[in-house]
Amino acid sequence: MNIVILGAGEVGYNIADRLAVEGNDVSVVDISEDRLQRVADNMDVKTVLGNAAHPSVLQQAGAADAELLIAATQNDEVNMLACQVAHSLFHVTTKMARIRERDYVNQADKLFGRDELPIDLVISPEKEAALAVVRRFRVSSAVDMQEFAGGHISLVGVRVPPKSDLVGMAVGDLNEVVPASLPINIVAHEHNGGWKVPGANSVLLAGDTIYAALDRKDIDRFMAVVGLDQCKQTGRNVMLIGGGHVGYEVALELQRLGAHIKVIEHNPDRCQWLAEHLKEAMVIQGDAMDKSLLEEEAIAQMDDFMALTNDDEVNILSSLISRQYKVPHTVTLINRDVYSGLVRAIGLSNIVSPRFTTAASILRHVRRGRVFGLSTLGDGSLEVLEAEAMQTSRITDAPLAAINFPESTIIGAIVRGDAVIIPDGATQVQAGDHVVLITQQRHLSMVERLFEVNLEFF
Amino acid sequence: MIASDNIVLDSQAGSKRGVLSEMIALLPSMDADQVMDLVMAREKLGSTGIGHGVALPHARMPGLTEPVIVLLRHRDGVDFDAIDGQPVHLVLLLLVPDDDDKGHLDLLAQLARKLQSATLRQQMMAAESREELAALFKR
Repeated sequence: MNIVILGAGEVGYNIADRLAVEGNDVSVVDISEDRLQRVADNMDVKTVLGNAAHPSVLQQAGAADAELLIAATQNDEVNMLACQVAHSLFHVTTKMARIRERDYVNQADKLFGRDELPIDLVISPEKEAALAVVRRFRVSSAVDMQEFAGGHISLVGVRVPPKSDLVGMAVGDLNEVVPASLPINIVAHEHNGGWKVPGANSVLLAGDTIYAALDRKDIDRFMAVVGLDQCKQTGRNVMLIGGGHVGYEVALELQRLGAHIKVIEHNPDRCQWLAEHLKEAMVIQGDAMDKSLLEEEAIAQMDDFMALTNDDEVNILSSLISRQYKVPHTVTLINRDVYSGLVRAIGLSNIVSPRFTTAASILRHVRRGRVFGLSTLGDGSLEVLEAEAMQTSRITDAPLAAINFPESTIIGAIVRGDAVIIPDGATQVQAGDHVVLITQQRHLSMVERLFEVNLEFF
Repeated sequence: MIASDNIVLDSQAGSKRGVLSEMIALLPSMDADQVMDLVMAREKLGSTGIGHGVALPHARMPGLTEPVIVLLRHRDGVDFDAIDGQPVHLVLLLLVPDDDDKGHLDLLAQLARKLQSATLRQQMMAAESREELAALFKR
């Protein structure tokens, strides 16, 4: 596929890398020679220097042949205008734009569309990161929670506690401790930092992290079986570091969920703004690395600590400080790739990476078939795909046991109408089913073939 | 079956989109953007590049009363995300009326079957005019 990417920042860079590795024809546009050089040094793509909204620049980037344009520069207005130019002059099929300003995003329904600004998908990394943080808050004894099929299916990531009934059990024998009335599928397993899709013989040990696919309404029962208590949902004390785009979005939502929030923000003007816009939160101006300030603000009494500044170092260090004070639940926002492996090594397991979430939500539109969701698990080597099984697609041909899946691929759950099915080998997928499947990143293109329609599909 | 006016003899297009827009340009009575959107939406669900350098993009077109076929030949070949990963040299665009007639499927199957023949594909690549190409599809 011919793809034009505007902006070679963190988001643009990572998407370009993924798409190029998968064999697409990618060109990357940026106004910074340095950023383009970094792209040219690391991947096989075409680079074009210039203003991303200028017709001549878009032409040079191959917009006339492109099926997809991803406008991910730092500037909302450039991104919107580039989509308009790509549409009017070059008829690019699908256009996506990164838009951060809430003022635009709040009017998205009226602003964007075929007859308005021609943008097919608005990407808001900050908003996606904020949603991910809030999901972690809602299932705070989990390390991660993701929702699929309109919220019917949850993938819950938990660290197996030492005294859990699951310790020492093989995945294939879990029915000894998990009642039949609680259907689950263990779809990912981390042991000593290595992630894989478990087989029936994989044994779960204390400290391992696992992901279970289950019906959303079964989450509480599952947590009880694992031996993790669900925290109270309302009235939790939350300390939130950083009141930028992400911090503000999270604070708004937590306020709605009835949490008691303290926001620590270093910029006085921003504090003023936050105080005006967050009616129920306490906004404190100060340095998140100042231990005496944190103590004054009663860090030791917090239920949740969320480090959401733009600065990864501040987020990592303040998260470590919160661990010292035994805050039970810490969420750390990590923007840059180099840190994500490192932070797990130093014991911060609850990481949110806007880069991952954004890349996944863009990439899902590049996949063939009717794909509704795409996200990563664990260290990013495993991917979750939610796709509709369509008439004539191969996934519907036979019971699952008889379908030739790539290795390390598992169907976590299926939604048929309103019913959640936790499948076994005898289950047969039907046209119209939503299938949530976990696989390794390198097998994704083989997996998507199973969902592609046949030639005869009209 | 294929009007000689509906043939692009030697396309120079460099992409799937380029190929399709050259073909759609031969259909002045249709809304080019709409045809492109419908065909590309179908391509997204699964490529119609069926291997051996052949692609059969197709779509249902509201307002059409009978099927329309456009043929395009590309000497160098163009990337069409074909199932065998090979470049595509022969593209047949099939647009059919938006109804439930099973005849569309038969027409598509008939074209696909016909193009299974290596001899026919060679003849198509060797043809020297649009008329000669059209003659290969006379019933």
